[in-house]
Amino acid sequence: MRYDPVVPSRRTALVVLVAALLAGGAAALVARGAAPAATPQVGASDERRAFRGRHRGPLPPQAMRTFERYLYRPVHPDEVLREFYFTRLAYSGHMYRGFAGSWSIDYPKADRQFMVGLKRLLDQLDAYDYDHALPATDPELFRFPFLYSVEVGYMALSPPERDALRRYLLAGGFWVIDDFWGSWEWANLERELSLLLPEYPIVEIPLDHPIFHCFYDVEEIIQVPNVGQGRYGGPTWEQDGFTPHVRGIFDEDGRLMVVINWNTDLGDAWEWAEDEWYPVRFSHYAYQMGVNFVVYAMSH
Amino acid sequence: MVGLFEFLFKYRPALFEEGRFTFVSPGWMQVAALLAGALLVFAAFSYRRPGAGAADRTAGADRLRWLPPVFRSLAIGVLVFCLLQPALVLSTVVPQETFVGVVVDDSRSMAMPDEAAAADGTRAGAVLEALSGESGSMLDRLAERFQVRLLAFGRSAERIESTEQLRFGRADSRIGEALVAASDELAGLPLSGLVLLSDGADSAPAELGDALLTLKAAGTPVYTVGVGRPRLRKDIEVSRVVAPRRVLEGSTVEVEVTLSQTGFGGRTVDLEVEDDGRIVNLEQVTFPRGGSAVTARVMFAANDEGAREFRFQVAGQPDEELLLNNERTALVEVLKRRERIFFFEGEPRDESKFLRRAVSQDENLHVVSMTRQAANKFYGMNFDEDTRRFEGFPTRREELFEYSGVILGSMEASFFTHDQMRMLVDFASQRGGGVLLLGGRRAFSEGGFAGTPLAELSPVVLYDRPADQGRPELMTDLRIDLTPQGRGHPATLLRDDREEANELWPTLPPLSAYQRATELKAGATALLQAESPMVRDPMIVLAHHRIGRGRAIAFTPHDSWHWQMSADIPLEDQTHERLWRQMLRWLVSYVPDRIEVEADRDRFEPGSTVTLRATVRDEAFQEVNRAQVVAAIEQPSGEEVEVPLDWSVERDGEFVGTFTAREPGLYRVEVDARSEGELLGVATSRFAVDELNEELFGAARRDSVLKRIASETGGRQVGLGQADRLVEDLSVSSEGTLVREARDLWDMPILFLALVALLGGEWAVRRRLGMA
Repeated sequence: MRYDPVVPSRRTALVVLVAALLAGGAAALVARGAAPAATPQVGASDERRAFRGRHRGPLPPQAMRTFERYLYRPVHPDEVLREFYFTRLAYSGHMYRGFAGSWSIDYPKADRQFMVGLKRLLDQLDAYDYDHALPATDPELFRFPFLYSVEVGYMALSPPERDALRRYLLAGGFWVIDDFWGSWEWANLERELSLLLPEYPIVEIPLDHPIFHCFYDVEEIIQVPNVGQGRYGGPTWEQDGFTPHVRGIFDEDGRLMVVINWNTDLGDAWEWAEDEWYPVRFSHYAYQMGVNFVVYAMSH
Repeated sequence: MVGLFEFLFKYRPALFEEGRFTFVSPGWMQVAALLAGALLVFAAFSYRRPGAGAADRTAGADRLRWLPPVFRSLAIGVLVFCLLQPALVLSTVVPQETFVGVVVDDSRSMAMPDEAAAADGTRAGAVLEALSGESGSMLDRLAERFQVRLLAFGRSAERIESTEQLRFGRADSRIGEALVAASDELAGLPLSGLVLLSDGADSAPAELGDALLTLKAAGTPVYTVGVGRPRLRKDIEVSRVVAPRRVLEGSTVEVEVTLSQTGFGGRTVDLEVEDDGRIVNLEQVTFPRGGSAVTARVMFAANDEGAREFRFQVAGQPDEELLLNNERTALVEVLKRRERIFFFEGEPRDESKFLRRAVSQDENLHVVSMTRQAANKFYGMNFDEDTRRFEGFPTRREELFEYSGVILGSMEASFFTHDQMRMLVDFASQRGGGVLLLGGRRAFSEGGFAGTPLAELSPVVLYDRPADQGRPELMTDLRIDLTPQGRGHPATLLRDDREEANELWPTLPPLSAYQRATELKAGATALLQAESPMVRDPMIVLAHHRIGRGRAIAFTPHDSWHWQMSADIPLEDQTHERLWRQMLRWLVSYVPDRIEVEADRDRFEPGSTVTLRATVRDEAFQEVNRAQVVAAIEQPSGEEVEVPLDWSVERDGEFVGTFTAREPGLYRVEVDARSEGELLGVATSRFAVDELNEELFGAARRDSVLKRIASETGGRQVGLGQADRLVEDLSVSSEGTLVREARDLWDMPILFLALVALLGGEWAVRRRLGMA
């Protein structure tokens, strides 16, 4: 019998509760332990600051190690200012599979590959060709009103990050969240969002919403599996995330500020779109969704 | 000057103009006098013959030798002239057989206390004294020679039996209409002329010229007698208020208020704007020391829907002579309606997203957008059931012309067909719409506008940019500031307080632009500019110019959205929203509707004839002459009157009708235009009827008006104390029962003076020559 996360048994609920408490406590300890180290690292290196000339703000310490792998890439010669940057949020988070930096999953290949498709499909869009990651606390973030995040089940925003991100979203920024699975990761995101935008509820986005029709007509929400399961024809779900959802947070004027793609992994579908073993229908759908997100973000 | 002339020539120039010159002596006397003259001349020239003392003559004395005979000859000439009995023949009226109409200004302004000639110091007092009939008064002098008829006027003139009927309390003084009415009243009588006793304050809406032409055609000269001082000593007046007749609710209304003053040069006064008793703005105005008038630009928000009467007033100064002219009222209709704007964008970009967002909460603006996402793939937004749907850019005038404004984003000129470009230009020039050109990498010169019809729209000079030049260079770090013309302009007023708004601009985050716009077209005005290290001259950021009926605006930066998203801008800051709301409201302000109706003014006196003018156009904004146009006028009492409007013939699509507004209060006009039974459209307008006290504005004696009336009708302007002159002028009038009269000229003082001068001159020269 298939596991149904919506109606859990009483015992399962108890187990999940205890596990969540333990995990929460552990996460809090990790966060407390990591915090003192954050301050001295902030902006210590001029080279870090020189990351395409924009990283003036403090970097999230948990993300530092992963971030540094890319920080030292030379500034790309294509330096003219563009209308659109596919900006990935480099957020603070819990330990993820042994290293801090869940924000960087699939980075930068997914981002770059998405840009290739995006520029072909939206040929009038003046888009930056490459990956573009920024921490929330960087003031330059406000110059890039489109933001993309993955693996937010491990996200743990610091108060400065939270303040900046809240301001960013309310000022007109648009945030696409992707690639997180199951009720445990959902609970983490929900907690983060309740701290970030407490007055705005998370709601299911209906299929007749313009975000599903502004460029492509998306009639059905498809569960996009990760590359491993996609290539080998395994189950499309992970953990207990059996049903894909597209949820969102609207401001008081009805503008969509946050789009949450839960129990699906659009990023992998972009990243592995050229892989002959990865099913094309998933890539096809992921690109449609991604293009619609960009069109919507740049028009609403 | 006239006095000197009269002293020398015995009579005033006027009599010489009216009369005919002649010699009254018998004919033989003239011949004899001429012969005598000739002999004398001959004798005088005998001086020239050499005689005694010739040897003593010097060369200088010799040169003067010809003068004595000349002087002598001229003196003899003068005597001969006198002997010939020169005379001026004048046609003068037969006493008591001719009429004179005395037309007295009975209006309120005559109560002004600025006439020193009167015992009580008022203009009215001076008039009453002149018409008292006492010995030596003007009426008395006139009555000696004429049959006098008294008339009093306000709006029109009517007969009065005595000055006791004068009240000096009428609200109006329409001089032209009154004079014509007086002329009509006395028609059929032998009329020498009309005497107008007035301060010259004319409150008639129509120009005086027509009435003066009528009087001239009737041969009725008007003699004007001015009362009051030609200049008040201390007065402030709200002379003129220029306000829009209609604005969108929530808009900033810009009004030009002209304040005149005498005796208050250098003083600073408070100009208050009241909306229904509530002060909505207070502007300090300083009068120039040297000049008399100053024009203040006042701005305030019109937040309440409906017909609003905005009052502009200056508090009375302690020593001011007249306080009633310190305020004026303007009727402004604040409309709650949605102006449609079509936003055509050539590429997805944040500028257009944030612009739309900035105005999305503005209930008076409805921005329909069409954005090109991919080649030939457009994303249309905000179309509603009332707007025609289309893909891309409209191809029919009806589709485009239903909008009041168009925003053209980053779209290259080569996208458009020639007809579409022409249609966009016509949208501004013929339809009267507003076109806003936004900066972007495909706009202006960078979008290849130069050499196409779109170039006509640009207020900045465009240059040819070959398409193979690739991506245009982006000029960054543009610090934007106001130009002198931009200070206080409604589009740049980002704060309620003007000074605060002016100071805000340089503090805003810098922007960037692809447009290298440094030169304005002739007739264009720049409101914002920016300095850039990449360009030598200041960059034009915001400029506008008129195109036919409409206007085009250029805003060159491509990232004003940073003023919404920048980390330096507080979240609650409304600068970006306000910029675009103001800008788009300005874009669609004064954009005509298909059907329009206006009264010739916004305010009238009770009993005035109101002329209603409607303009009727079809969907493509072509004027329609064959239409049935009816105005339904709702009066203040609620009663409705229908007035059919007829094609004026003078202009295409213009329909005119008149209506007499008697009730004071607010009137509403609704015009219904049909063509062959089909409704073309409906338009509404409002006007108010109230006591306006127009004549209290410019309350000093208006000599220019009085002089013009006199000169154009063949009369003259005389002073209050010049009754004799007035009687004399009227007596020699060419109208009435006349008799010929010859007046001697031989005894003119100038002849005597000439004689003395000539003989004296001769004597002096002779002494010099040693001949005396």
